[in-house]
Amino acid sequence: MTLLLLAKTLTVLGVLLVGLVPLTAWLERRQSALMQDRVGPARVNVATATLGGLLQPLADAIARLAKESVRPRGADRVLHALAPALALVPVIVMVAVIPFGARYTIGSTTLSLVLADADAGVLWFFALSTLSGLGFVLAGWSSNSDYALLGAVRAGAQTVSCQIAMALSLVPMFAIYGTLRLSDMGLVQDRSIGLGGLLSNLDLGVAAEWLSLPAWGIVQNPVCFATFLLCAMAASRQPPFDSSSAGSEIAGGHTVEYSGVGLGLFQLAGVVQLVVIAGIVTAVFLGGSAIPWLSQDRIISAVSGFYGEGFATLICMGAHAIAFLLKLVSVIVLQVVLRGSMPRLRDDQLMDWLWKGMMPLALLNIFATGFVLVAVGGGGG
Amino acid sequence: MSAEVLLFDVLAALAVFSAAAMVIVARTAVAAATALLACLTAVSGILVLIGGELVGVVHLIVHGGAVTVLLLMIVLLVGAEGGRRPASRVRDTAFKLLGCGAAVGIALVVVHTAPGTGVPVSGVESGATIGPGAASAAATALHPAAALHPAAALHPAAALHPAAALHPAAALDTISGGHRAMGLALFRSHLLPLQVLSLLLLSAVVGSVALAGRRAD
Amino acid sequence: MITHDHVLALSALLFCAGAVGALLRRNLIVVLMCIELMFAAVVVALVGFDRMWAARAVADSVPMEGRVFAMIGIAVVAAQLAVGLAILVSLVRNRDSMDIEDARLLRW
Repeated sequence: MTLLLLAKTLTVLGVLLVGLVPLTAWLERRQSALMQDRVGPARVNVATATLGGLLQPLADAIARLAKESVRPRGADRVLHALAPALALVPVIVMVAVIPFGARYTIGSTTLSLVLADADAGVLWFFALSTLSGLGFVLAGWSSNSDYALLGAVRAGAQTVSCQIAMALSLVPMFAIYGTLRLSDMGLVQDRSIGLGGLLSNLDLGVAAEWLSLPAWGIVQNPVCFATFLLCAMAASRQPPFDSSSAGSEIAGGHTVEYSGVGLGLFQLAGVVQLVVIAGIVTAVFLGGSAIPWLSQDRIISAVSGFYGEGFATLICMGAHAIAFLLKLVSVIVLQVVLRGSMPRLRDDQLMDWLWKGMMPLALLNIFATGFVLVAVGGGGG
Repeated sequence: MSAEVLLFDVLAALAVFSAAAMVIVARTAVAAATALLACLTAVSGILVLIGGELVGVVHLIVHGGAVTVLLLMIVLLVGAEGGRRPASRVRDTAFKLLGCGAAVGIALVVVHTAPGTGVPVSGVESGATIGPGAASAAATALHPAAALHPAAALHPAAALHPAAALHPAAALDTISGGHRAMGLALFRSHLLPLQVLSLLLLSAVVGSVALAGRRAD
Repeated sequence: MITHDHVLALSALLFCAGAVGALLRRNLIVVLMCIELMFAAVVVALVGFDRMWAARAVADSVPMEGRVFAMIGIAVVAAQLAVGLAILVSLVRNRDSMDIEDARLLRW
């Protein structure tokens, strides 16, 4: 059991740090370059082939490690050193609650493809994202710089405000699924909603079975998807919600006095946060690892005819993991599209948008979903 | 010594050390807030260990996260430091840290020699175990049904239905941290306190806006 | 095995640290933090008592009272802290000082 957990942890960390983080960093640069009609990273090359800048993240990582870490005069020594770790560690821990597969039974053992199958699943994401925000606030305070202090105040206000809107925006999904556990949400979404009544008077025959929608969160409550994604992006201080680190206004805000490894850790925290948000959105709204129209039972029963039950389960596991990664990457791409296509919100505009826009919308959505659930009878979508 | 007791000791030591550091060592308000953050995080860990995930994670969200950010923000906004003070001598800080260490030592001795009932709050010995181990065991027990019919076994309707107590999923939930049981307790048997609480929160919001929002002139 | 006594002893220690800080420290905001710490100790004790009763109860009726009390307490203290911070902000605006000795308007 312990060995299995160790293997899972190493696999997840490996995929994250070697695969997803560089990919996301590259997407962030290359895709925004394409969107803004720029060339993008073009210097790093292997024998003059730039590969679209694919090696740029590696070069960046080496540069961060090789450069000197400067501590400004008058900075708080302990907190200035501690802040990057405080920003990064909670974000890495969040990865543990994201399920990257479903639950499988091989023989008598049960395998759950998630590191920590937490009962309170999504709530850990909320708690840890606030803690990570604290790291940014402390970074800004400890730098002994006016720009950094301004960034810290903005980041603090943003962290608290986003938490409220973000938590409220996810409440309808708890009501629909009846669980907080992310792996259970995946199981509940691994089925289809028939279009039943709408098409019942047509004679569709076999096709009727396929004329259905997957019971994903985005299908059941699209408003919830939009509000949560935007609030989560705001909580992680990504553009266009990055007034706390606005380069053209306060010169980088809370991280302005960081260089070398410290800056690298902050940037890593930002990129991992992007991946984690994509993971949570996938688990809650995009069916987790479920493949549309092909539920787990269906895949296993179809394949086990040829290869036997155990091997069929393994194949299903692989298919699920690939489906999960595909969804994850597409949510990352979606986030980068949103980043690139909106101008930055001023900090007072951001507060307005969160408190007077997102929060009432989320509350309204809770009431509407509640009415529908009660009217339909007992919930369950 | 089981892993659970070891974890409890480590978290308790961290909580007591950072609490002592906050009171004794921290010179600036920001340093105190950082120590408070460490202490509250450790307390949340202990709550998860003994009381189930829900209370622990809610404590971490509200107090470890939001309240600490709020305290820090106020420190930054009103400039609570009154300028940076000169650094204290290294020897003083060393003695203070020694004091914190002594506090942790006393804490561990007191915690482990406390006389009393010996009623377990955790561990597999008790019937109503709360903890990650028990949760996964219960999940495994439930699993065969869940794997075959996820939607049926986990059907959310069970949560809203009065007969939830008879449903296997409800039984699982009582054992493993119990957000469903907590929800039923809050919204059924403790509905009046909850409503009064919401009024209190509303008046707190209005009151603090009225107090702090007023311009100084 | 963690017993109820462990939990209570820890809670008492944390509460004492908070009480000492609230009485000794001069910075208003640090006093608020110490009150926060005392409250964390109370939550630990409440959850400990909840588990104690749960361990004694028959298996099919696990009581939730202690934990419900803790949850409501968490919210109440958050509200209290928000109001306390608001008072602090207006105090600092009026007196321009964070020292607790300067807040003596209501002292006779």
